Amino acid sequence: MKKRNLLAFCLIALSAAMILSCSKDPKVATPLNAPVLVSVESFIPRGFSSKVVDLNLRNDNPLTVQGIALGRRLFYDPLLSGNNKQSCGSCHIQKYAFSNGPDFALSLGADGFSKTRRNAPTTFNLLWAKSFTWDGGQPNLEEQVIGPITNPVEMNQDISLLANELQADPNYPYLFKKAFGTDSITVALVAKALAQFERIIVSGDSKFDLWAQRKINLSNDELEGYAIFQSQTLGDCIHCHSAGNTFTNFDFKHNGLDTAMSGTQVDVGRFGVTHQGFDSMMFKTPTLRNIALTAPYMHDGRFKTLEEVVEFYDHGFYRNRNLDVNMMMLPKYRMSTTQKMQLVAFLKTLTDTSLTKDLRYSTPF
Amino acid sequence: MNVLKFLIFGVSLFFLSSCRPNDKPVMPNPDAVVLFSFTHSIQGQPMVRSTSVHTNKAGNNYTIDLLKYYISNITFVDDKGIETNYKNYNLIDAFDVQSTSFILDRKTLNGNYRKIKFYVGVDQERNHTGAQEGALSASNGMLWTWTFGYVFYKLEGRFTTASITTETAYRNHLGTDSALVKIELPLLLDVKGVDRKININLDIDKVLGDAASVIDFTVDNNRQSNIGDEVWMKKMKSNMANAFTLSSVE
Repeated sequence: MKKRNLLAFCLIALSAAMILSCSKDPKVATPLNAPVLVSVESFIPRGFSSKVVDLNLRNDNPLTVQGIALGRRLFYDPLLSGNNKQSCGSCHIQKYAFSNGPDFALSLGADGFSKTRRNAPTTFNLLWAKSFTWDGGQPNLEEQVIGPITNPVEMNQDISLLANELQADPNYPYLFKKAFGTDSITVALVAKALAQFERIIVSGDSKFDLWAQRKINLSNDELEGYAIFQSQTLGDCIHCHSAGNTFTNFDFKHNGLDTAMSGTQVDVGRFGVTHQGFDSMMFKTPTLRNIALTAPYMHDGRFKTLEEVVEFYDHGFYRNRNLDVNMMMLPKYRMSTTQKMQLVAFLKTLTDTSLTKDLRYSTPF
Repeated sequence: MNVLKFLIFGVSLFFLSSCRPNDKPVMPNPDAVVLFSFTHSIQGQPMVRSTSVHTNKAGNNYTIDLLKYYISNITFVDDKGIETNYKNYNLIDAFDVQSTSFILDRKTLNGNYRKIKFYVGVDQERNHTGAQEGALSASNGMLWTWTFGYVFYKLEGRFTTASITTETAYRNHLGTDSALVKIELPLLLDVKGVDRKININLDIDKVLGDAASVIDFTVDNNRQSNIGDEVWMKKMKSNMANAFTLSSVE
């Protein structure tokens, strides 16, 4: 009996010791709150699809308050580039609807002189995107975001050093812990955070949207421009820049640009991804939202103004073998001077100044 | 002794046989689905994007760059004439394998089905309502305007003839409410709670018709269901009604 009591006591004492040794010092172990999930619906503008099949979301990277905040900081942090001089936000500038602005047909790399191959695309409304970059070579946003960071002519970061560099930073380990529950930083987590931030950059509050919601009126020229935009005998923009919310059908098309590039190399476009002859010189139809802010235009930024673009589609295009069939049908010189002016007036109604001013999308530094 | 042995053997046999799993009836799986798979051919040959040249009954040598169409309101009709309509809207892109097969939202099929019906196109109910999602999203590039509605069927490519030797573009965009194509195919499908697959083929050669109903790109190279396209629309409608076949049920 006595023996058994002693045994029981020993067991209790041992357990107590184990329990105590496992408990953490409350001063050190203030538990971090779990990342707070964000409902994607809260970012979706009126009239836009919120159906899961239409959204570029990933189950393994849910949107969280902390993940988005971390992604925003990373997006604007030059630490992500090789020489710590350039961030994603250096070429995707908010006031130009996240394009590189009028001075850069091709963007300059972190080194200050290298040039990118193509014009910097916008990074808003990626939530509805079906693929990324001009040739659609990247189907996943999480993979795409690493491309420009490591590209030698862009941010030129050695990918094997990126995680260590962030790990040595006084703030990042804590921010990653908050966002992903671990302070051991990996490139995959960097990509996840950046993708979360880019997914919430949404634009759906243009003059056109307000008109569609019957809150404001458009001028006669703007309304005429909208009719020309849709008309199959005048603008015929609608075959590719689908009316609706995205103003693109996300398809790859040959739009009649000649082969001469501003650089020396011919850009084969989608062919570089698929290696199929019929994809030669095809590029993804870009959105027309905020188009007045994203000059210069085309994959190589060859046109400086919207007027030039409209002239090109009116009569400047080449009837290349791969030219989109719908454009092949269009006669040249089909729009009058007034009609071209009205079409440009309509395109300008797609500008959303709330996007360019929204503090949630601006630099946290 | 022998009797005892026989008894033990008999009893064991009884127990053993009673344990055989197939004594229990097979429970139908309530989640059983029907998978639809659409294939595309030209005179029985598989369709290849842009590169292979085919000849239609009008003597046009043509290639296909794009083929997209809506399949909606798939309806099963059983041997008692009772209809089960899935109310689906699916957009098929012949050159995107992700779109050519689909499973419809679950709706219990239980019976002996003798007919399958569907529309090529979007019925009037959903053709003009705006702000649609998924297959009906305007972003798919299949919407003209809300007044005209969706393009039900799009065929695009290039052609030559004996007299037109330079490659010339053609586009056939069929739509508007009156052009909705109703397809009806005989079917032998007894569904008893297991997954089934239905393979349907569309032969473009049949869409391009023959004799009086032939589509000739020398005159029909730019048809978008506009005023003046009525004869073409009528031909397309009747040709297409015979262009789908049920290739197999698995």
